[in-house]
Amino acid sequence: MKKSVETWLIFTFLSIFTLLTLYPILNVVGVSLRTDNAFQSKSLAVFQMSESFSDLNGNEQWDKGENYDDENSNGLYDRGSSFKSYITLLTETDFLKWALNSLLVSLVVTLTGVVLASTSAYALSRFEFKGRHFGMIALLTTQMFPATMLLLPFFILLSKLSLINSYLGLIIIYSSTALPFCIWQMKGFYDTIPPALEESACMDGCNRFQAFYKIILPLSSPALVITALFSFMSSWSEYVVAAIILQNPDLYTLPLGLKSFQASLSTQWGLYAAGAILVSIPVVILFISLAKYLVSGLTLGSVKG
Amino acid sequence: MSAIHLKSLCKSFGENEIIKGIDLEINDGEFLVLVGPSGCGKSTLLRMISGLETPNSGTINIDGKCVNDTSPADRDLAMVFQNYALYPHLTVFENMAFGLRMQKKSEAEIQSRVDYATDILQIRDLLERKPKALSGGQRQRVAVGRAIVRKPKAYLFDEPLSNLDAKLRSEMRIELKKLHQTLGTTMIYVTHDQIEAMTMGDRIAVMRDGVIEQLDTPTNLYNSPVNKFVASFIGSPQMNFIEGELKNGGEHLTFKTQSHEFEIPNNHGQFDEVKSWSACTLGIRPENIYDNHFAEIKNPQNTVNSKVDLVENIGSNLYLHSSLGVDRVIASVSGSSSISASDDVDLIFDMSKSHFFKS
Amino acid sequence: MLLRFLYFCMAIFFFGGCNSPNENVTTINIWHQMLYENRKILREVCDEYEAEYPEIHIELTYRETEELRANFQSSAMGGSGPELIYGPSDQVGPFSVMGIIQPLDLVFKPSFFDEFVENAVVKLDGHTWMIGDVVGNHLMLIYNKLLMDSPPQNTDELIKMGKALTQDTNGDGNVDQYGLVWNFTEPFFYAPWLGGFGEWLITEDAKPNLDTDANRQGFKFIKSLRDEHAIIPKECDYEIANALFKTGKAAMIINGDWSWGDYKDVVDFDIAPLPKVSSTGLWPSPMVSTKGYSINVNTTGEKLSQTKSVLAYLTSPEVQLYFTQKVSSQPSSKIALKSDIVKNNELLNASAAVIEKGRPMPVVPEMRAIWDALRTQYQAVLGGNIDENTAAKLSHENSIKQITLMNEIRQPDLMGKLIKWIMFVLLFLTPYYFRKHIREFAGGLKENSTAYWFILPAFTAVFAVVIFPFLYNVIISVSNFSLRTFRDWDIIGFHHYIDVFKDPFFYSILGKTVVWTAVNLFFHVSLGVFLAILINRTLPAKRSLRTLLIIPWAVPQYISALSWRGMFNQEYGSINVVLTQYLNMDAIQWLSQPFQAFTACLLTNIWLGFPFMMVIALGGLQSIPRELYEAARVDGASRFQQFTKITLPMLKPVMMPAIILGMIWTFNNINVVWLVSNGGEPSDQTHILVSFVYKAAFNLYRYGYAAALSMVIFMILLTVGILSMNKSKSTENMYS
Repeated sequence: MKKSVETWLIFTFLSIFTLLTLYPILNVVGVSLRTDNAFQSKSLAVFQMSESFSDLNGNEQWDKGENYDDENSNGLYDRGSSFKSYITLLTETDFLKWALNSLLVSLVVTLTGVVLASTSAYALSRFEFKGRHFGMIALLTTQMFPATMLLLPFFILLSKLSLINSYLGLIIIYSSTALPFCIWQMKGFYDTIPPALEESACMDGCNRFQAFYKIILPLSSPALVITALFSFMSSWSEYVVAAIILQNPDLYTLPLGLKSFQASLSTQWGLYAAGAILVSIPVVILFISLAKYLVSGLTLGSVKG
Repeated sequence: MSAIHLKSLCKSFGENEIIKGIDLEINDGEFLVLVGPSGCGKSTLLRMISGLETPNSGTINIDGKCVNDTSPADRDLAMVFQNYALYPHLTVFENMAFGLRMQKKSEAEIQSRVDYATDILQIRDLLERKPKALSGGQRQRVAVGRAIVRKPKAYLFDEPLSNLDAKLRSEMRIELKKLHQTLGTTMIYVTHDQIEAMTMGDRIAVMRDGVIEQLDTPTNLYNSPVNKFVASFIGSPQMNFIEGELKNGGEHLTFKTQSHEFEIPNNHGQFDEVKSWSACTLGIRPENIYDNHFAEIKNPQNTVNSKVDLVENIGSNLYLHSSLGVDRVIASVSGSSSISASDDVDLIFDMSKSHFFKS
Repeated sequence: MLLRFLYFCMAIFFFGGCNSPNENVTTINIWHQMLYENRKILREVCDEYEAEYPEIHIELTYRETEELRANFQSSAMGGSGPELIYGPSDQVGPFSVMGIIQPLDLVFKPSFFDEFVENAVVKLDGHTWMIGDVVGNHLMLIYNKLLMDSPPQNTDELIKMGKALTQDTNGDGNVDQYGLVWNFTEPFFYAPWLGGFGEWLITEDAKPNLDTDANRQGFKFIKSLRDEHAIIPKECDYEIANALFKTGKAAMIINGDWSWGDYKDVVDFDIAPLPKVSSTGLWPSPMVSTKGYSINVNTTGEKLSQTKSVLAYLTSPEVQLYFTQKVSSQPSSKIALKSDIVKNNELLNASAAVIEKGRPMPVVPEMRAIWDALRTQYQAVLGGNIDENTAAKLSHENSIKQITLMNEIRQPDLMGKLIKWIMFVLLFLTPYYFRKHIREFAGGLKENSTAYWFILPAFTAVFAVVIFPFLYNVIISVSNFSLRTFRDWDIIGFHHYIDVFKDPFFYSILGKTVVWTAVNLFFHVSLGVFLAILINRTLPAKRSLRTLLIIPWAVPQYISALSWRGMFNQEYGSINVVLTQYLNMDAIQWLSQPFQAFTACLLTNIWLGFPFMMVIALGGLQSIPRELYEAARVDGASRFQQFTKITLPMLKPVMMPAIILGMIWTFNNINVVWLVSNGGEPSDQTHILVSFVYKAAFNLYRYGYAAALSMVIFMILLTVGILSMNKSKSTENMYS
C-alpha cells in the first residue's frame, strides 16, 4: 500500500517534470503555428484559439489596428493556430530539396561513422599494441580545442583541395568530428564482450576479420545503433561547418536552408520555427524508437584505455 | 585423429615468463589432462596448441607437421571454453553449424553432423533456443556439441566444467570420458581440479610455474609422485607432510620427528635411494594411516597415539584431524569407526606406502 | 613541404570531389544578405540577365550579415570566394584594409560613379570600394495610425504622448500597451540620439568621440524613458519590439526602412523622423548607409569583365526601380531618383526627409571597436551598474584601446626569428626525443599489423581533419595575424600569450568558465542520476517517460537555445509569466543583468545536458546486480545508505568517462552562451572562454590573440583531462 502511494507520487512528479522539460520545444511548435510572424506572446498557451474580432467603428477592420484575415469566412479573425507556415515551407521553399540533401549527407556520414568507428574501436578494445593508450587519449584531445578556431584553417585546407561546395568535404569533416565519441563508446561496448567468443570463432575456422563481422558486430548492434544515431545527429543538424563549405544554394542542407529564414533584423519566425520542428522530428523519432538501445548500448567504458 | 608434439615451447608476456620450455608428446587418441594451480601456465599451453597464442620459441607439431605459423582456423582443432563462448545471437543449431558453415559444408552434411552430436548429447529439443534460454549444463552440452560436429583432429578443453555445480560436474565428467571412448579422438583437457584429472585422464601432466613437474598415468602419479608438489596436488584429502630426519641404523632405517620415530620397512620402494639422506619430508596419504581397531597390520613402532581435534564425516570415511608434534595430520579411516572429536586414538602409519621428499 | 604532401595524399585519397562546371557557361557568384522578400526579386532580375546573356550564370548565396562577413573573409583568404559580395557599406572598412576586395576606381571609368548619389559610392583611403544600389538603412519613427494621429515633433511630446499611450487596457495591473518600443539596448539604435544631443560618436579623422556631454545626456535620456517616464518596456530586444508593434501593443517603434515590408499588411502605419530633442532643439541623426556590391580581389581576367557587367546591371536604374516598385527601396541612381515611381511613393518621400537629417554611416574598420566599446558601457548603464559619466569615459577609453589593438602591427623581430628556428629544430628534435617510442612503434608495426589496419581509416580521418587546423592555430598564435596583416602575416613571438595572461579580464572569464562547467556538470550528473533512479523503479508508463525526457537532447541546440531566450524575456517570457501571474513574484530581468543572464545560460544548458547523463546513469543502474541491494537490506542499510554505499560507487566507473567528456564539451560549448546571451550581453559579462575567443577572432579581428587563447584553453583542458583520467583510473581499480 505504502509502496503504491510512493510509486504514484514519483509518477506524478516525473510527469510534471517531463511536461516542464518539453515546454521549450512545445513553445517552438506554438510559434510555428502562429500566423503573425512573431516570436513572442504573453501567454503560456502553446496553441491559440481563433479570436473573435471586434469592429466597434464599423470600418470592417479589426479595431486593434490590424487588417484581419478571415479566409474561412466564419466571421472570426484568423489569428489562431494554423499550419500556414508548414504549408508555405513545403510548397514555396526548397525545404524538401534541403531535406533530401541533408538525408544524403547524413546517411553517408552515418555509414562512414559506423564502419570506421566499429573497426577502429575493435582494434582498440582487442589488440595490445604500441600507441593504443596514446591513441585513445589523442582521440579525446581532439575534443578539447575550441572548434570555432578550426573553421578558418578548415576552409583554407578544403579550398586547397577543391572540396568547397562539395559534399565530400562536408562528409569528411562530419564523419571525423563524430568519430572520437563513437570510437570511445564502441570500445566501451566491445570491452563488455568476452574475448572467448572470437577465440571460439577462430577455432571454428574464422580469421580475425571474419570473427569480427560474423560474431562481434551482430552482438554489438545496440552500440552500433548508438554510433549511427550520433553520427546522424551530428550531421543532420550541423550548421557552422556547412555554412563555410556549402555556398551553392542547390547543395544546401536543412540547417542552412533554415538559417536563410533568419536575418539579423528580420527573421521569418513562422517559417523558421516550422522548419525547426520539421528538422527535429526525424531525430526525435529516431531517439524515441532507439531509446532502449540508448540505455543498453551507450557504454563509454573505462578510461583505462 | 592425431598426435601432438610440443618441443621446448616457451612463452612470455612482456617480462613475465609463463611457459618455460615444455616438451610434451601427446599420442593419437589419448586423453591428456593438464593440471596445476592457477597461473601455472596450463591454459596458456592449451591456447598455444590451439593457435590462439603464439609461442616465443619452440615448435608445435600436429601429425608431424609444424603448425607454429598456422592460424587457429586452419589447425582443425576444436576447443571448449570455460564460459562455453556460445554465440549469443545464434540459436543452438546455428551455434553448432557455425564452424561447418565456415568450412562451406553442404546443408545436408551440416544437418547430419548436428543430428549426430545432438543424439550423443541428448540436446535435440534445444536446437531452436538461444544460449540465453539454456541452463548451465545445457550450455555445456551445446559447447561440447559444437566441438563434436567439427570432427576435429583433437579436442581442447579449457576448464569446461568449472562453472557447473558439483553434481552436474561429476555427471559431465563421466559423459566426457564416455565421449572420448566413443570418438577415440585426441583430447587435451585443462583443469585445476585433480579429481577431474584423475578420473578422466589417460595421462596427466602436472604443471607448476610454466614447467611440467610430472607426466604420467593417474595411478603412477598417485603412487609415485616425483616431488612434494605433485604429491600434494594429487589426492584428496591432501597428503600429510611431516618434517623429520632419516636415521640409518644399519639394517633399520628410521624416520625421526621431534616426537616420534617411524620405522621404514626394507621393501619400501625408495629404501635404497633414501638411505644416504638425512633431513627430509615424509609424505603419507590420509588413507595410509589406519585406525588401530581396523588395521590388519599392527606395528607398534609406527603407531602413534594422538588426540583427535576434529572429525569430518563423509559417510564412507571419517577424516580425523590431529596433530603430530608441530605437524597436522589427517587420517582417513573407515566410516564405521565411532571416533569423535577429542578422543584419543591410535593411528597406524603404513610406512610401506610412504614417500620421502628432499626438503 | 609536409602540408603539400598532406594535400597530395588527401587529394589522391578522395580523388575528384568537385564536379566540373559546364565549360561554356561562366558562373558569377554573388553572396548577399538581402532580406527575405528582396531575395526573390534579386533572383528575378538575375534570371532576366541570364536570359539576355546565356553564357553567364548567376549563383546567389544568402548569408546573415555577420556570417557573410566572416565567410567572405575566410574564403577570400583561401584564395576563392564569390566574385561579388553584397552587403552594408560598413563591411568595406575591414574588407579593404584586409585587401580582399578590389578598388572599383581601377576597374570602372570615373564617369560610371557619377551616375550615383554621393552616399552610394563608398570611398575609403582614396579609393572606391563599393557601389550601392539602395540608400537608407536608416532609423525612423514608425507609428500605428489607429492608435495615434500624428507623430511627436520633439522629445517632450514623445514623452507626453508615450505616457498617454502606455496603458493597462485590461486592468490586471500590468502594462499591455506601450507608447514606444524599440531595440534600445543595441548601440546602433541609440546612436541617432547622440546627434540629437549635438555630437557624433566618431570624429572626422576616425577617432572615437564618446566621452562627450551628448553621450552622457543620451544615456540619461534613454534611462529616463524607461525608468522615469516608463513609456518603454524594461527589457526589449528587436524581436519583442517588432512583435509588440505588430500586434498593436505598441503605438510607436523606432525601426529601419527594412521593416516596412514586414509591417505592410499587418499594421496601418506611417513614418516620421525621430523627434527633435527638446533640450537642444536638434534632430537626432540616424545613420544613413548604402548597401551595395564589391568585387572580390581574387576576380581577374575575363571573369572580372563579366563581373563588371553584372555589377553594372544590378546597380542600373531599371533594376533599382524594380526593387523600389516591389519593396519601396530608396534608389541610389540619379536617373532612378527622377522617376515617377520614386516621386509618387509617399513612403519614400517621407523617408527622404528622414535621410536628410541623417549622417552617413562611417565605413572605417575602427567603427567595430567603437560599437563594441559603446555597447558594453551602454548596457552597463542601462543595467544600473555604473553611472553615465563613467560609462561615457570608459566607452571612449576602451574604444581607443580596442582600436590600438586592432590596428597594431607587431613587426617580426629577433624573437620571431628565434621562434622559427626553435620550431625548425623541434621538428627534428621531437622525433629524436621520442626515438625509443618510435622505434618500438615501428618494430611492432608488423606484429600488430591487423590492429593497425583496423584503426588506420578512422584515425586518418580524425587526425587529417584536426592536425592541420591545429598546427595552423599554433602558428597563428605566435604570429601578428590580425586585421591589418590579413594577407601578409609573420611570426613574431609569444606576445599574444603574454597578453592573455596579463589581461585581468581573462581571469574573470576563466573563473566564469570554471563556474559554468562545474555548475553544469553538477546539475547534469545529479539531475541525470536522480531521474535515472526514479525511472529505474517499477513505474507506470516508464518507457514513455524515459523517452520523453531524452527529447531535449534530440532537438538541435540552436533551435532550443532560441526558444529559451524567448522564454527568458522579462515581460513576455514564459518563465516570468509563471513567476508573476502564478507565483506572485517580481519579474526577473533575465537578460539585462549580468548574473541573471549567466543564470539563464546555465538553466538552458542544464536542460540541454541532463538527458545524456540520465541515459548513461540508466545503463549503469541496470548493470548493478540486484543481490547487492538485497544484501544491503539484510544488513539493515537504509535507502540513503544503499544509495551512497552501493549505487554511487557502482555508478562511478560508468559515469566517469561521461563526466570527463561532458566536462570538455561543456567547457567548449559556445552555442548556448552565444545564442541565449546574444553574444555575451549584457556588457560582455556572460562570456565563457570559447565565446570570448569567437568574439576576439570574428568580431574584433584579433586572430592571433584568439588563437593564443584557444591554445590556452586546450592546455587547460588537456591538463584537467589527463589528471582526472589518472584519478579515475585509480578509483576504477578499486571496483573492478
